[in-house]
Amino acid sequence: MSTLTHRYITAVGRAVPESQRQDVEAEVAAAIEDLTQARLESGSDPQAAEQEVLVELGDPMRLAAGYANKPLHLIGPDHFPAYVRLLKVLASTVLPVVTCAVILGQIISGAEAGEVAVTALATLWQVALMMAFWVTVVFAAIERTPGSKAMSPQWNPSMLPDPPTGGVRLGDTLASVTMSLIGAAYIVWQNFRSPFTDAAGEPIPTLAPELWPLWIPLMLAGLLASAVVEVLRYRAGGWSWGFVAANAAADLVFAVPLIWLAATNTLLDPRFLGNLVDLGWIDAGLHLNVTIIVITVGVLAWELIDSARKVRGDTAARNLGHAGR
Amino acid sequence: MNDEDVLTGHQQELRRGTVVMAALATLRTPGYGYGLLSVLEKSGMSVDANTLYPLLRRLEKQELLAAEWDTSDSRPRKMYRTSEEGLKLLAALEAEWNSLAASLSALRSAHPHEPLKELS
Repeated sequence: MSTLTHRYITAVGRAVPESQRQDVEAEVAAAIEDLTQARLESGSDPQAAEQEVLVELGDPMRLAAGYANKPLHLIGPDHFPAYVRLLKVLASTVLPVVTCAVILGQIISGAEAGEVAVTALATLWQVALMMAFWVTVVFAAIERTPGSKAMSPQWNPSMLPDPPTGGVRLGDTLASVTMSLIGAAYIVWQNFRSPFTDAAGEPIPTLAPELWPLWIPLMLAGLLASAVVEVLRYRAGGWSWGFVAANAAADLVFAVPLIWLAATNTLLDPRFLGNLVDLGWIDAGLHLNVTIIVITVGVLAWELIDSARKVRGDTAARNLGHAGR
Repeated sequence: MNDEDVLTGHQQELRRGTVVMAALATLRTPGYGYGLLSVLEKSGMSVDANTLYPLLRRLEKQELLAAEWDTSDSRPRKMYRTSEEGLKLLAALEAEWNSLAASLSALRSAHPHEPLKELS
């Protein structure tokens, strides 16, 4: 037996359970022998014949799976729906809860705002990876457990997800535009009205005045742009990928400077924070910055996911509307 | 996807189950794996070697084939023969096959100008 054939047989044997190994190896050896013999009789030279036979039998792992009746997939059709559903449930429950817990823990232990944000993102990433990994491992193990087909939960109609409510929602648009306008108005208003005044009796703004030449107008532009996108979206009859992109751009123009400034502790006026500290709120700067970052990231993520999710429903509703006309 | 691929895909799907019938029918006369492979190829039901050999083992495990190593030759080979169980299964599969063929031909011969009530 040549080394190539020997290696092939060993490779097949290694991939079947030990109890069947000897048997399968003998069968594969006999099969190779027969197939090679037939080729030699029709005039091939020995080396070419062996090569052809091994190519014909193909990947030893695949052949072994045939012999041992093992699946050639990680998670098969019996368990795949349950696998995807579980991943979705975990991603929408465990992931945010763990991340919020970590943020809280960091704040309590007195970390800097930027540090908290970085840790929160790192935690989010790690927990997501761990979750996906272990769920996959468990399901791959279930797939390979004999009799596991009976374990897969019976589907019934009550498990259907709610249908996406397509079409424009005036309430959504009004709420969104109002939020943007209130935000913009507040940014302007806080410059002139404040609970605190300085020695000269001038009001101390909440946001650092150094941000006016560039950052504050940029954030105002972002807020107003998202209000405009919102109105246009309403008139166009719901989300499309173009609006998702425009909305994301407007949101980022507002959110990125806000997060960055909060993380570097340059967003709030130090005199304003000083007044809060004097009132007994020792960690006012940290708490406010972290709250701003967490809320901004949360709202941003929600906006992006929600708008992308609604594209399909809205498109369907639009097409339905056209068809009905 | 071109028409060729579509045709091949559907043909493969249709043929998949018939290999078992062909193997059980042929091995009523005892034979080796390679012998079966050649017989099937000659009869126009060619099967890949890497499909047939594992299939023989699974049928043996299900006791539809009886198998033993034949050591009379210079090299040992596994000799297969359809068992009693195998013959029963073959009869059941053939009955199924014939009933499918009958149903299909009834559908094919139904008058196209008289649409089935259930379809309209």
